[in-house]
This record gives sequence, C-alpha cells and structure tokens, in this order.
Amino acid sequence: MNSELSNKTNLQVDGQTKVAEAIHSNYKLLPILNRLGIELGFKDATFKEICIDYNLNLDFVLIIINTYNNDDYYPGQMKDIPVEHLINYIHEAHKYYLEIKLPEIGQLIEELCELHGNSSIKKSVFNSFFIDYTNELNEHIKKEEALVPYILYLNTVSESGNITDELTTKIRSSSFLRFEAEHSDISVKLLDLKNILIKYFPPTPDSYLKNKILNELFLFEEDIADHARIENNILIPRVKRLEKYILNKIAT
Amino acid sequence: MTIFLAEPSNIIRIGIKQIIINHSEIRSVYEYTDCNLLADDAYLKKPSCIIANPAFLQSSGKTLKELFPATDTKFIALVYSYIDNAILEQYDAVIYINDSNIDITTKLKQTLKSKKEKTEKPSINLTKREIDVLKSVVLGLTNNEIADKLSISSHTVVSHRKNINAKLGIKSVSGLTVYAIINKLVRTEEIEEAEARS
Repeated sequence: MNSELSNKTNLQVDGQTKVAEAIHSNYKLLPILNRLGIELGFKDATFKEICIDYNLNLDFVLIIINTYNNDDYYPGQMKDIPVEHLINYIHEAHKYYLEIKLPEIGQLIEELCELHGNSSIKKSVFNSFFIDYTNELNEHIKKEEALVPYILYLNTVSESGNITDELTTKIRSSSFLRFEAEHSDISVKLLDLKNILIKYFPPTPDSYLKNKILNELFLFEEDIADHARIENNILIPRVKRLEKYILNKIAT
Repeated sequence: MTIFLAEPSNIIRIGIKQIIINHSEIRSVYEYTDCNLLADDAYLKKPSCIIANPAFLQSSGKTLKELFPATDTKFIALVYSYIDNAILEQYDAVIYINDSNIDITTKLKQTLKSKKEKTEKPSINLTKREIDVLKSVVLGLTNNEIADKLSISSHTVVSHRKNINAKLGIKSVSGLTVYAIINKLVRTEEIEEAEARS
C-alpha cells in the first residue's frame, strides 16, 4: 500500500514482495538485512522464499521490515513472534552500532581533527564529545541488554508453565508493565554534533570529509530512531503480553 | 604571493620548498636560517605566509604576536619534533613531517584563503550576559553558582541557558564546550583545570 501523501514511498511488504524491490524502495533496509543474516545476491526471491532459505520466521521478518519502512506501522494483531528471534535481532543491531558504526564515525571525526591541526579543537571535539557520546550509548545499551535474561526466563516459564511465586512477585513489582524505552537522552548529543559540524566547525582543507561525517550521522540517527520504535512498538508489548499471560495463568 | 621558509635543516627546508614550487602556483619562496634577517625582511617584504619551525623561530621564548606585531601575515608551523600545544595554537596551520604533498599544499592554500580570525565575529548574536553564562556553564558551574557569580537569580540563569540552547541549536554541556572552544571563549586549559577541581 503506497502512501501517496508522504515523501517516502512507504512500501508495505508481505510474503510475496520481492526483497530487491523493497531495497530499491528503501535502501536503508540494507543493514537490516545484515542483522537478519540475509546476504545480497538473492536474485528475484520474495520474502517468503528468502525466509525459507534462511530458516527465518516470515511474520517476524515482515514486522521488522515494515516497522523500519513506515513510521506509522503498528503490528496490531501481531502474531506471537518468537521472543528469541526478536532479542537476537536487537542484539545484532546493538553490536552493529557499537562495534561497527560508531568506531567508523569516530575514525572520520579523528581524521577531521587531524586536518585542522589545532589541538584544542581536536581534544574537545573528539575526546570529550564523541567519546562521551560513545560511552553514553554503551551504558544505555548495557542497561537494555541486562534485561535479556529476564525476558528469556519469562519466555521459558510461559512455555513450561513452571511459574514460581518469586517470579510473579517480580513481575508485579518491577515489570515491563511500567517500562518505556527512553531514547531521547542519547539523541540530544547527536543533534548537537550535527549542528557543530554544520554551523560552527571552522573550514578545513577537506570539506568533503565533513559532508561524509554528516551523512553518516544523519543515517545513524534515523537508524537509531527506527530501532527505538522496534523496541517500543514490538519488544515491549511482546514482553508485557508474556507477563500478563503468566499472571493470568496463576489466576486460573 | 611570497612565502618565507624558516627552517635550519637543509634537507627539510629545501624539501618543503620543492614541494611548494612543484605542486602549487607559488613561485616566490624565500629561505631563512637566520631569525633576525627573517624579521627584518618580513617587515620590508610583507610575505603572505611564513612557514617556520617553531623551535627555531621562537627559540627566544617570545610568542608570534610579540615577534611580529600588527601583521597580516599568516603563520604555518613546521613540526617534526615535540612542540608544546600552547605554541602550536599561535599558528594558523600545522605541517607535519609525514604530511603528503597534497596535505601540505592544501593546508597552504586554505591558510592563504582564510580571513584573519580576529576580524571574524561569531555570527550568532549571543548577548554579553549569555556569553558570561555560557562560559560559566562550560567551566562546570552549577546554576546556583552562576547566579551568585553574576549576581542574578537562578531563574534568570535558567532562562539564559534556554535562550543559548535555542540560539545555538546546542543543548548538551559538552556540545556547548566545543562551541566555546571553537569561538575562543574559553581555553582548553581552563576546562581541564575546572575538571580537575571537581
């Protein structure tokens, strides 16, 4: 269903959609395919076919792709996608940010500061600012990942039916029922960095480098925002449903 | 366009001269191994740029401003050994011994093109009060401490900070720090001292 009103072509994909078509419609899906483990070179395969090839859950893949494609997409009548797939996907995304993307951007920023030759700008831009940002993101992600054992445990229990009192107490007291993934804190510094590069950083011999860095920052910001939507719109409701299910089971 | 080259090592000085002549449009490069002669000639010939080894040019311990007062000449440091940051900051650009030909000619070109920084005002109009508040924020003072320091209420401090954020488009303290350093409102040493104290 194409939305003719917005600027983006919000292609809603289903099992019959060709993966190549989805990419042409939104190239930002490329790292998403990576995280799902899908490699390019799949010719005219549809999503259904590629999920069979890669042994992936089709509903899960469609939900992820559609959430990235469309700000307004909400899985709604969401089939119960496997929690482990979701957790694994999110973990891969975190790895991508911390181990690939941020170091790449950091490298470019360091290059930029070298060119400038003025060491106080280099120190303040690179050291204090970007490293601070990396640490903040790291901490944020650590906190999220710390919840994984709990989520997986909920999943195991909901399947085995082995519900302990300890668990129900824990659910009632500190659960996801009150958790909202807060991402605005880490986006503030990113916006600051963009403004500094666009408005205030002195002219340097290689202005192409600044453009390159800004491109990366814009893309990174969008990726993180879409990722936050996956956590807010998919993961958290999923976990809350698990908790409700367990509490209901106790009641009966 | 005239360039002066001040460097005692023959190998390095002649090497740089060759690179400039072979890879840029500059044809007038004067070589100096005597600082006094360079200073006199600089006054007479008014070169566009002086490329100098700081250890050589400033061996007397004077700053560039003290050695060459009231001049439009640009200065590029030529560095191949340890030079203190406080000295490097006096220069408009820095050339390192392992820079490529392109690095060197680009830095030269860029330096010659750029307007003298002193005459450039920050193009965002922060009021004097806002600048005072900004400096204090960047040096790590709390809102209450800033209110005391500037003899205003902490509500006013908060209001100034909101205006600063809105005018600059920068919200985080580390972002403001970068802005302050780029616009020379504070020096890195002041920030380091403030951090050490906290």
